[in-house]
Amino acid sequence: MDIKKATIKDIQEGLINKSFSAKELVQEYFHGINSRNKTINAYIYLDQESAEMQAELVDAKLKKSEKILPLEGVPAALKDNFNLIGTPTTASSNMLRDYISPYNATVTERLIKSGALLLGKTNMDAFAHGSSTETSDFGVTLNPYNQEHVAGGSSGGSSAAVAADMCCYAIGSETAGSVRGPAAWCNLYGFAPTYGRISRYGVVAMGSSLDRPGVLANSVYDCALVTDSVSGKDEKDATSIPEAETTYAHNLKAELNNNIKLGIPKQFLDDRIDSQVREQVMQQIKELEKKGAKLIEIDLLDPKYSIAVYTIVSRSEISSNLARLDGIRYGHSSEQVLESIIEQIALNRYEGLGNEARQRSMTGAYVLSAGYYDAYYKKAQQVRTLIIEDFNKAFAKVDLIIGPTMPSVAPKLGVTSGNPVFGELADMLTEPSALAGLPCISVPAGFNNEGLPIGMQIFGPQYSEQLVLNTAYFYEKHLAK
Amino acid sequence: MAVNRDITEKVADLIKIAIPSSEIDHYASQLNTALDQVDVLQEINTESTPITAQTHGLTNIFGEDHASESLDLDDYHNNKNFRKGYFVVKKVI
Repeated sequence: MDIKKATIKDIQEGLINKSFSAKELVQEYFHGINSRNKTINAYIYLDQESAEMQAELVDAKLKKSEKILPLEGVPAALKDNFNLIGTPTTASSNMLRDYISPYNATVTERLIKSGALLLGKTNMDAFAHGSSTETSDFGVTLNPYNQEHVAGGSSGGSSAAVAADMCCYAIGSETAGSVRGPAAWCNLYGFAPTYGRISRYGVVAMGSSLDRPGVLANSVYDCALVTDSVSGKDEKDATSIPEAETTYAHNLKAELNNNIKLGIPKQFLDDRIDSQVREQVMQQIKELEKKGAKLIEIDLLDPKYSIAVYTIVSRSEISSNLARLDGIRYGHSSEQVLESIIEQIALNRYEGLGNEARQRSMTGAYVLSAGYYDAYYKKAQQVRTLIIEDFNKAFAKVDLIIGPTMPSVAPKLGVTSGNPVFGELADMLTEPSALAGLPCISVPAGFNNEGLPIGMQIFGPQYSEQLVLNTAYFYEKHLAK
Repeated sequence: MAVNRDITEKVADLIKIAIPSSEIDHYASQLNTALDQVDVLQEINTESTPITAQTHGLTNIFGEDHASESLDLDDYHNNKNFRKGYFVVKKVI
């Protein structure tokens, strides 16, 4: 059986046609995991026994020719910030190293209801603070295309697991570009729908006004199908969009809407962007023009403002969200016993949180503190309004916006060392759309001279997922290399 | 505004992280780098701009106040500080 770059459709067809059994399939994926994960470090938790037991149940259904569910029998991976009952949910942090989930995230619950066969949980930047997995307390994830380079982050374990054929698709999450970025650097499709489309309940919180689960996969169809399985209103997440689940996969059409207008922000193609990334992405955009898309250059607010707004808003929300980690009820507790509860908590937190979580929490506490609130947090929230208005103006002229996902290809290992703002700078092209909560997809756009993948992002107004996905699907079917 | 040692210590205390004295300069430097990065916002006039705290316009969500099924205590058993139905914590008083 060939699982290389397999899609959900390929696998389910193989299962239904009895080309292979679900158990054989799981064993084949674990064969790859056993030979590659030690080096790549995509997974930090694996459960082959449970996966094989689930596979046997699928095989029993298939034997009786029963209909299988949309994701049934398809091996998948879950980013380690999603709670899965009875398994560790560490968010790749020492603070939560011993934490065992007593409940399922809504995404996990819905995946299971759709038949997902989970192989394990994937590495990430600790608490999702980063764009390289180098802040993980479980070691860095290597890029399957070149092991001297990072896989990206924060969902780097998820992207490497899919790219190295260690699962068919993986769940990730992004606060700025943590799905799109690693997808771009690992030659995958990475989709994050409108903020609120997928529930955040049971996901270790980073920036609550920004966090959104997403999908990393080998095809646009898979992104759509998995999104359909996990989306929809959730009473447990007050910010979830009050709409029923979606039907993007069913309505997916590989077509460019008549006279579709694609906006190209000139700020996404200036000299801050690696020249090979620029040229390769422009070449792909020109191919779309040849197929009928109308290209329109647009002028957006400079991404430097989004970097600043994102830094303030996300770090403020981080300082608040991570404040719950006191090491008393759960989480790392120091061996050293202190007299004062406050000092004990502060010591637990110092030992359990890594450098990145400490410095981001401290920045957040600083900008939220009395006297600085107006100058930083309020100002950032006001500029966030201007960024949204800027997009609204752009979407009056164009249907979708297109450009590079990341300003460079995957950098070499060690990139974050000594750079306390690496994550925010690397995500400069994904932060604007993240701040506005827009649906986005990164699609593979080719390779640079060294064979490192380049990603191109397509995004639209809130709730325009179907148009974003259809356009990406057209690209995949007609232009993707 | 440059963040000095005193401010860094104050912030560490506010956020309850016991940063050792020997590491305060390191975190002061990281704080300054982050704050330098956000200075560009002062270039933008926001005098009459409203804030955005939430991107899709939801305001308060109210629900009926009723008891519903809670987490199963049996599922806590694997957590190392949960024993016999209690969270076991260090002596704090």
